[in-house]
Amino acid sequence: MKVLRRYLRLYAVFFRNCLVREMEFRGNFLANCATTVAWLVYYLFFIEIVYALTDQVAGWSKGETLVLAGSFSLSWGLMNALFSPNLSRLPEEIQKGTFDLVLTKPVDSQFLATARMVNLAEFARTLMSFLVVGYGVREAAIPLTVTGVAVYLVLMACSVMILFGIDSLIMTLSFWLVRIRNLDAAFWSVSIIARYPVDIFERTLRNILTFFLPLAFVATVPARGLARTMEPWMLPAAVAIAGFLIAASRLFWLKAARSYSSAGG
Amino acid sequence: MMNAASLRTALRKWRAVLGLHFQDSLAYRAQGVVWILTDIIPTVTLPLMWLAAYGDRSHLRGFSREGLVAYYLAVSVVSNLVFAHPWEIARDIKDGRLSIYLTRPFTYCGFIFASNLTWRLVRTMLYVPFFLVILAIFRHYLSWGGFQAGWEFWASLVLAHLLSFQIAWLLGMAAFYLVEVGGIYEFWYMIGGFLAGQMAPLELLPEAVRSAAQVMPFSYVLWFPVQVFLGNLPEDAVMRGLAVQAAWTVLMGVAGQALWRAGLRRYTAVGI
Amino acid sequence: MPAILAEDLTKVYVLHQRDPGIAGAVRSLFRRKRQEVLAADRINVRIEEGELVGFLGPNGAGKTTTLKMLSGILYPTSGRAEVLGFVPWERRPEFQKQFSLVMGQKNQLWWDLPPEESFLLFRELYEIPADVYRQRVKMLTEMLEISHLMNVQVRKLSLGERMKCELAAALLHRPRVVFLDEPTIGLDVVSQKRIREFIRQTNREDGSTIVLTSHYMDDVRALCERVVIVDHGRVVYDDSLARLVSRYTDSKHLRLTFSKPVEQSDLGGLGRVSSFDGLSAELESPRDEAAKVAAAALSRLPVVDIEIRDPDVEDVIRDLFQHRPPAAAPDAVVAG
Repeated sequence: MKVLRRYLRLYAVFFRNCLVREMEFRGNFLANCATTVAWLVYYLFFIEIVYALTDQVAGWSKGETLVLAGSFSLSWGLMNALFSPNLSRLPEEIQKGTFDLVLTKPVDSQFLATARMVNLAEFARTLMSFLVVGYGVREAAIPLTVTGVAVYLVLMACSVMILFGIDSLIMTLSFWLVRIRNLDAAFWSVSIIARYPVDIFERTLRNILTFFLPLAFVATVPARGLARTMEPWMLPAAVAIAGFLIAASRLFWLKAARSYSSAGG
Repeated sequence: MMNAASLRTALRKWRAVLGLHFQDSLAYRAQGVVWILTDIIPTVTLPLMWLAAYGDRSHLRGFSREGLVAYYLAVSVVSNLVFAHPWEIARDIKDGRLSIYLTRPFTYCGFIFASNLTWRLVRTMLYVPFFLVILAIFRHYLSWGGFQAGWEFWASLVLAHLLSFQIAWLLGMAAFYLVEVGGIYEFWYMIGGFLAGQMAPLELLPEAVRSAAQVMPFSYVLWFPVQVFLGNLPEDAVMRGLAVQAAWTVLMGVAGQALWRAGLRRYTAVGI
Repeated sequence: MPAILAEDLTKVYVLHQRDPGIAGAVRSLFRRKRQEVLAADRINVRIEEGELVGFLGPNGAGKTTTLKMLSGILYPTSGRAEVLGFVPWERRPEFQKQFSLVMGQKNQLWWDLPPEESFLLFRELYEIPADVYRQRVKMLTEMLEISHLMNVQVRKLSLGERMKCELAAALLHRPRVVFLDEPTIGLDVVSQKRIREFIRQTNREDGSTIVLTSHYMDDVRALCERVVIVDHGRVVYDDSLARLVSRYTDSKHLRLTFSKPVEQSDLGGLGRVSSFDGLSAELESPRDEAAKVAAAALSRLPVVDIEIRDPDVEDVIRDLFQHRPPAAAPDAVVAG
């Protein structure tokens, strides 16, 4: 697995470069950390307000809803930290022609294009999300077992892969729709739905969010997985959907690179 | 001194400025749709969360299911017409674009006001199809009546628009003094929106927060006109509210102009 | 085996035209007007290892397109090419580790970081062993005189300094083939000179094959023994520079602007007239007579403005082909 080690080493360099850069604008970095955490806190406040007046929301207790909120924030935070900044920059790179230089490097172009920048401020949100999940587990008195946690981690990995897959598929479109920026902005706005328990929606919408735009698998399913209230078929379903989206994004990327080289960039 | 001729000229200028900004706002419609999407999701999900919280109860702190849905729907419509954002002012100050505006025979404040007003209108137009979808989602809860669309409501709406503008203008003035204002605006958007009743009706918030919100101007930007519209306030409360709204508007306006003059002195001294 | 071999390399771009407005957008969903642009037309070129070749031509002539095909960025419409025995557009890592592409004004170095950090990234990308890396960095920074800039953020460097750092980064892995696309564009004269010297040194010491595109005559004059001139996608000259240069560097171009119209006959004896339109004229005269011609023009004619310059590539090409019109209607080979 020499290849894997090489890519990991490369990734370490990316990470270090970003760290050095952020440390220079320390004030800005801290402000960004504060902002990302603030949005999570904002939603936690809403949860507090609702649960001050009730014990359950669509069958979810307060602790379970906190686990859900934390899981969503964790998944989204990781996406924003690792991949979204690069994917959003893609149309600009293509338009300016600097994507050419990515193609000439002896490294996989999708790796280089999607992993180059790391938004470190988002790790503040990620850290906070862990705490929220932990707090939720305690609040709901969820018994933690090795299998439970393992299932949760697998589902969270799938969650990130699902978000990555969809974001990547959308941004790969910018190879053809070069002039349209912010293709992904609409997706990110809509993906916020994932932080709410999917059970609050009526059946049609719920099905859409489970099978068509699988946002239910981003946070609801992992939270259920941890709380042991998940239907067993959801675990393989999550893995299958995540795998499918990753494969689709890879194939679409290769197609895009081919088209780029045929059309003249 | 205002005579008929100067009034006519002023009106002509305003018409031109408004027309231009309207075109400009229309050009941003594609991005506008994305911003609207961002606001729509909470308009749908927050009431759904509440509805799921009712359980067997018919009322939650005085809100029936229909009343709660009506609140959020009204908030979404009113906020389209009312919210102003200071990013343009901050950008113009930072880029130095302000200088060009200062040379024009028309107040910069007027430009920003026109820009905001026209964008609000365009945004409301774009919002209509989305609103219809939202109505469809909440179709079982639309039986609530009792809307009050009398002169009090329209007055409160106009005042809310002006108040929101004044607050945004005031916040824009911060750009004269600080280099990075983006963070401040994010916090303001969160907290101001929260205190205006965007996240939840003020009645559903903890007591302490509710009292704090009543003494701040934000609730008069959104919560107040919405409650007037929904007919949830007795007559005297409405009258009192209008007076307070007007008072806040004037206060923010005066403060805003004072900061504008001071900031301008600073800006022109730097000589961009 | 030649380092670079191109046979009938052709690239046709298909441009879709769309009418403005909504009606046009709708119409374009059903039927789009295709316009074909022949960017490279049966390019044939053979470059041996160690050569330093200049690709000259006006903007849009096809130099960059050819370079992109040889770097593997673009697929050709037809024809074949081999660089170091590899087919470039297969983009094999073994190939990519042996060549380098530098594009003027397109940065590869990280903007907010010192060049040193980007160098470390390149080391990883190209898998350069540590000792080789150290040696290369030392050598390159000394040659380019940028050792003192290694810890300064790229965004704080001047354009010339930045370009030198970009070049150093590009050569860290000791590529056998180096493609330089307009490397001196936008730079000040001093930087241009320094970079040219560096390129020449690299070519000599590393023995690398260097292909340089430029529309600055000075670049080519300083570096290339051989030039390939590309015009409208075709190779129109592929031979020694000396022969080309001897024809043209001996002359100067004078551009005269008049305050009132003059007759072309009034310009008699001042040298070869390359263009004339009543109120302005362009003359060509041998280098050592240019001053005399200028003086004569100023005294004889109502001149309000005079500009004396060296011939540039456009002049060279125009002169080269004054009797041969460019390939207007190419028999294009269309992509499947």
